[in-house]
Amino acid sequence: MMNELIFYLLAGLVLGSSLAVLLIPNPMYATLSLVGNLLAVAGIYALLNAHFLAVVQVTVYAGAVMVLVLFVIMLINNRDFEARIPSKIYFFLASALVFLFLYILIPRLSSSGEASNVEGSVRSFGLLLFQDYVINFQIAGILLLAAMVGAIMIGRRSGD
Amino acid sequence: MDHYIILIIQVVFVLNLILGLASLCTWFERKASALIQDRVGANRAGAFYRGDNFLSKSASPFIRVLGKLGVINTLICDSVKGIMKEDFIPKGVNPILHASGPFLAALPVFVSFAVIPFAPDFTIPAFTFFSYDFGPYDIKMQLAPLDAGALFILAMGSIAVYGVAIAGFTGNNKFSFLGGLRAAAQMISYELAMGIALATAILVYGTTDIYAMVEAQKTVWGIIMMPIGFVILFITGLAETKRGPFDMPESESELVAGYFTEYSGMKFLLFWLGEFAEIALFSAVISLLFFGGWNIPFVTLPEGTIFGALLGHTILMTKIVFFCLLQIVIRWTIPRFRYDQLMNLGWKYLLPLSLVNLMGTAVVVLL
Repeated sequence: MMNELIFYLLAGLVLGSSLAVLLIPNPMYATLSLVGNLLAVAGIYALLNAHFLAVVQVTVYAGAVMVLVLFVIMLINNRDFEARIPSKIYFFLASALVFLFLYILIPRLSSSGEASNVEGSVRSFGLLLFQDYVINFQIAGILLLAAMVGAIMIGRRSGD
Repeated sequence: MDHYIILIIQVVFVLNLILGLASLCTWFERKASALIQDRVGANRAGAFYRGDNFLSKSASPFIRVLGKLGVINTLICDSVKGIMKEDFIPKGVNPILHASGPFLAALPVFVSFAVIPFAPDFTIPAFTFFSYDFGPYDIKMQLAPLDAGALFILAMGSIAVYGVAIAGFTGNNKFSFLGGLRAAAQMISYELAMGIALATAILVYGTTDIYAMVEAQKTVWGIIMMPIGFVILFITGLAETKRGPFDMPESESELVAGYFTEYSGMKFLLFWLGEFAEIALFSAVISLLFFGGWNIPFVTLPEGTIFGALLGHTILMTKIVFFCLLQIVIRWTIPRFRYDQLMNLGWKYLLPLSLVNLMGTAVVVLL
């Protein structure tokens, strides 16, 4: 009962803040809504007993990535990029892609019910990551490393 | 039902503990700074109180002593003054966003205390009270016995950046804005080294559960196993509280008061409350992770009894109070860093050192 109540509260927060990100023209408020959205998703993870995942979601997304986004938005003048949608074609294209994605995703989500039995403790999470999914983990690591090197290359002043 | 009542009592207990520690820090900050700077400090309010009826007359010597020590001035007068002050909001600023600054700066600190164990687990034996049978109850003095407790504190610390950044942004003034940016940059930079130092501790103890970490230090304290990790965590902790030699974000001589320039009354005090609570939190983390928590060498506490828990709680609180006071003394002793020195220390010294330390510890643990 209590859990369901909290779930609906969090789900409402997730949906509401996602809508706010899309609809609010002011980039500062949109960023803060996105932070709220990420925190609410972390709350849903915690509700599913995946504490480690929730903590990592807060640390990485809400704590590190979004702070940098906020940083950039605070430094750039707000009026320079208030709600500019270039063309309606992009809008329809994006909507079509999202619907296609959901059309493929939703039937598969509802059928995979066994995942809920996995314990959310750090130990079981680590074992899962380093035994069953070790290849995926390594590939993700290499991808992140490549992205990091790329970021340093782009960020470097030419002539250094 | 019983479970909820015990939980509510625990929440009240922990909250009072935080506020008590924060008040102690407030008072000590005023008096210690005065002593260090060869001043007298707060010593007037209530110092000459005589009382006018029997009750107040008999209490007056006690009140006079408190007044001379500055306790009444710092704890009662200042808070009442904060409540009575005008709540100023700068022009052209969203009032909700403005109010959420101090809220977001203080809340994560208070939430972090949920994973701090304040005493070893104990059992209240079954007893009968007015012909009702109670217990036995197994009590954990940790509000949320999370598996990922140490990481939870790190996550909450990264949320606290928003409070500071929003406060700087909604100040609608260049001083607060610069202060907010400095604070955010500083906290992000030092969070990295702090996270890696915590990872060292996690490697050594083989767990992320803070309670299990304390239990692992029964014979040897953590500081002996990882002295470099302790030094890194201590320095980054000082930087995370934005005090001590790391108070660039609010440096009075340059930025008025930095990110909270445009705050007044209780909102201003909330920043301070959050800051002092953060000192207490950080002291708790250090004493739990590196100084054995409620363990002291060569002494075994009686396990599982109320007496043992009380004893353990006293030992832990002594350590926490010691580190609180140590941080305040450091703040008033060491001069402020320059901004480039601050960034150099964070990125060029602490981060590589912590990475090397992590590698070294990993090799030792593997062997």
